[in-house]
Amino acid sequence: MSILTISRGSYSRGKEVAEKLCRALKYECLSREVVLEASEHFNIPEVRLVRAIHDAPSVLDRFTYGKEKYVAFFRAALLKRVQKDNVVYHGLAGHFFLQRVPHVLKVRIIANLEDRVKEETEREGISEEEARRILVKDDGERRKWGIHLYGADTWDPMLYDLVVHIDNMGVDEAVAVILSTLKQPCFATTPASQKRLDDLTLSAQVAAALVNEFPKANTSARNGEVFVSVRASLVEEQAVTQKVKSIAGKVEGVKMIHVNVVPFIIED
Amino acid sequence: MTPPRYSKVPITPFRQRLHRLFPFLRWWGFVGLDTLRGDLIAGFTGAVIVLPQGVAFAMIAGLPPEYGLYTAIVPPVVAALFGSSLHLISGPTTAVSIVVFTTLSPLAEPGSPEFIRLALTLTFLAGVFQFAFGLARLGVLVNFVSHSVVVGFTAGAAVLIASSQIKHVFGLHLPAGTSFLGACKVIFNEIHNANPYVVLVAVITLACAVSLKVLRPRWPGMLFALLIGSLASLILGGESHEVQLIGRLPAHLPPLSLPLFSVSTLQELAPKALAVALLGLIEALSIARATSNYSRQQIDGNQEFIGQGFSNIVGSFFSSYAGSGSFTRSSLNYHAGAMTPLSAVFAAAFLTLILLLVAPLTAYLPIPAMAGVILLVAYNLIDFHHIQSILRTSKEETAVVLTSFLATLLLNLEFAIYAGVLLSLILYLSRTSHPQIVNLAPDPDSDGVMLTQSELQCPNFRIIRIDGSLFFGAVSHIAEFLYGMDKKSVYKSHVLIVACGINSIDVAGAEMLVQEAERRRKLRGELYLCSLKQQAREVLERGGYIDIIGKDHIFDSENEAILSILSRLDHADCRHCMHPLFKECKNVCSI
Repeated sequence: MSILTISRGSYSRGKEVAEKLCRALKYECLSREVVLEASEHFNIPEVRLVRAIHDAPSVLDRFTYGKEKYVAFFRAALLKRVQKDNVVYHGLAGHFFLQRVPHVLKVRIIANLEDRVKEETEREGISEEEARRILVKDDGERRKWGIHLYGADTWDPMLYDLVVHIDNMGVDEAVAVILSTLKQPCFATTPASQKRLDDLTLSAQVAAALVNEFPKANTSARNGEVFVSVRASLVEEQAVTQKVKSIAGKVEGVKMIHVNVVPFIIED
Repeated sequence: MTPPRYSKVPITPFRQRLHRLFPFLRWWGFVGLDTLRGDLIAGFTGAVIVLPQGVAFAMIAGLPPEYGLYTAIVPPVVAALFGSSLHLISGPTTAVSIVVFTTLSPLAEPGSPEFIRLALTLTFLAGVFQFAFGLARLGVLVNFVSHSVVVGFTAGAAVLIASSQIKHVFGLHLPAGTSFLGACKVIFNEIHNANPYVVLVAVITLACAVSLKVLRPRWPGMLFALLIGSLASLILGGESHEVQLIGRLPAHLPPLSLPLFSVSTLQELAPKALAVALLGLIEALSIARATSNYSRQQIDGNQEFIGQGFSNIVGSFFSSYAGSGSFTRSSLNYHAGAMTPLSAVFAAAFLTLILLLVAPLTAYLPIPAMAGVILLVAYNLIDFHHIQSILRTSKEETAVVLTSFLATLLLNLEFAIYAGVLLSLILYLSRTSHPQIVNLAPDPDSDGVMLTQSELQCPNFRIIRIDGSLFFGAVSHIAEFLYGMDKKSVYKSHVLIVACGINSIDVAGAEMLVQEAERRRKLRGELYLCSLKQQAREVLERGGYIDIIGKDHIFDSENEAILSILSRLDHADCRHCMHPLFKECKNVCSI
């Protein structure tokens, strides 16, 4: 009983691996469904959501907080789905959102660029040159996205429990390796790890509720107690605290809210 | 938890250097839509407030009114970007304006091109001094200027400002460069020649400004008061009754300017510029610290010096005279919701727009109306609350306030600043050279385990605590105290010094302890030390002083010391003791 996240580059055959794992484990397979669910739940266009979790942020995004908003919605939807356990998620950003949850096996599937180019050329019917250009651009965008939002490179193996190179090892062998790893006791769901995921999920729901008013809000939760840090002038501390409490108080499962107003951050 | 940034971007040495060179990069990462919103609102409010202030302060400084606005455009931006405080708003201020006026008016006719050039040179030099102080990391020195000096000086400056405006309020003529006493005399003798129209315009403006300040404190009261004063002058037909007008302000950006760089001018102005620099720094840093009480920001004094200095240097090339931190505008800026120094940049941008769009309207602004507003500014400068609390709490501080106040009124203003700084230093040295020495006795509530401050003394030995450093300046005071103890009772030759309050000991202090230990031995007594701090103990050990005092005379704790000392005393006298202080005394007395 655990959760699997599979991070993959385009045409790395990660999708195939994920689907085979779902069949073998009889787990729910999640990918695009999360985007659809988030776009419906938060009433936002699907395309914008996909772009927000895929494309690197622009200079303007820093001031409009567009990325933060959509990412918060997506994260809330994803965590809500995986909270039920027994899930394989293959797609964007799962490994970022589920870091430090012990019963999540985070896998990265990689493949040689030339193999990926070949795969894309065959599937999309485009020239090799075009396929290579698209893949390089795609990889670059995803790396920039991770670095901008989380200060981490998607290609950094430290983010994963397992990195599988689809080359000498085929899809079936990769599935076997992952299944074998998943059997390790450290990836089994325990009450403590489930509680951690529940806290994360509640924190994500609160962040999504607040994101329109406080796009840079930092949230965490513990047993229904929610801790929110928001950027604001201390002059407005009382009003801001009340506002945060009134918004966050409506989120299901919130028992108590602590608000910390951050008036400035100065780098040394 | 919101997903954290997994690997915090490390601050490389290059980036650190970049942050030191361009301090605004340190807070730039915090700028977002929310901060921009707050800064824009605060910036607009600041621009509206500084408009009448700038004109008024320029008049105080003896400069054409537009120079006050130029000073409110360029220097605040530079100071905000290169300073340390997130909320300090710099620009023209009353105190610095009056110093500019009093230091330069003997050298040139106020308002004349010569006076303007001298003012710009003075600004440049003051900026260089401030910048150099910052580079030399002398920011800490401002801590030695006591608040009482600033309070006294500001109150004196307020009276000077008010007296300089009285002629405009009554429509009298006063020769340039008249002293405070001279001005008082002329006004007293000429009051019957006052122009009633001028007085009426000034009184209406002042009444409006006061009413708005009381009833609508968040409104730009001075601006409305000036508008009403101007309307009153128009309705009364002021121009035909000798009500003087400010005249049309030039609607253009601060023009480029060049300070005078001749050796003779620089030599003449350097001492005066030092006074301006010191006052500016004291004012700016005090205000930055006062604002940080609300904002919880830590202020870097050296960076603030650099910011102020750089702003004055740059300002002197953009027709801006010496500026500093403004308490009114900084406080307003913070309370209007400013979150970053960009609010100062926005304020300057809005002020430029206002200057370009509404400058022609100043043609209708009567000088008595300005004088009315300046009277209110002067009144606001006097910190009645602090003066009252100083008068109540300390005679010493009261003397400092009075000295600074009177020196400002009656002497050369730059001398008043130096006197204030000197007085602060004397006060500080006097305090540190007289550390508090208190008598200790066992606390009856703690069953004799703890020592507490008390009048009670053991007839055989005395316990004292020294609260302060044992350095060359304090040695004489402490030695005198220790010597004086023996005058009162020859039997009390054993002394335990509880050294937990001694933060440091220098060679002079250590030698004094050694001399005291040797002296006490001659008196059949001993000197003991306990609870020594590590730093102090190291000095005594390194110098070999501990060997002379006696290693067995140094104890880690008070209890250990008392037990040991009591066992070494001659108990013959203890049998007749009427006031046994220690719980051990019971055993001793029964021997």
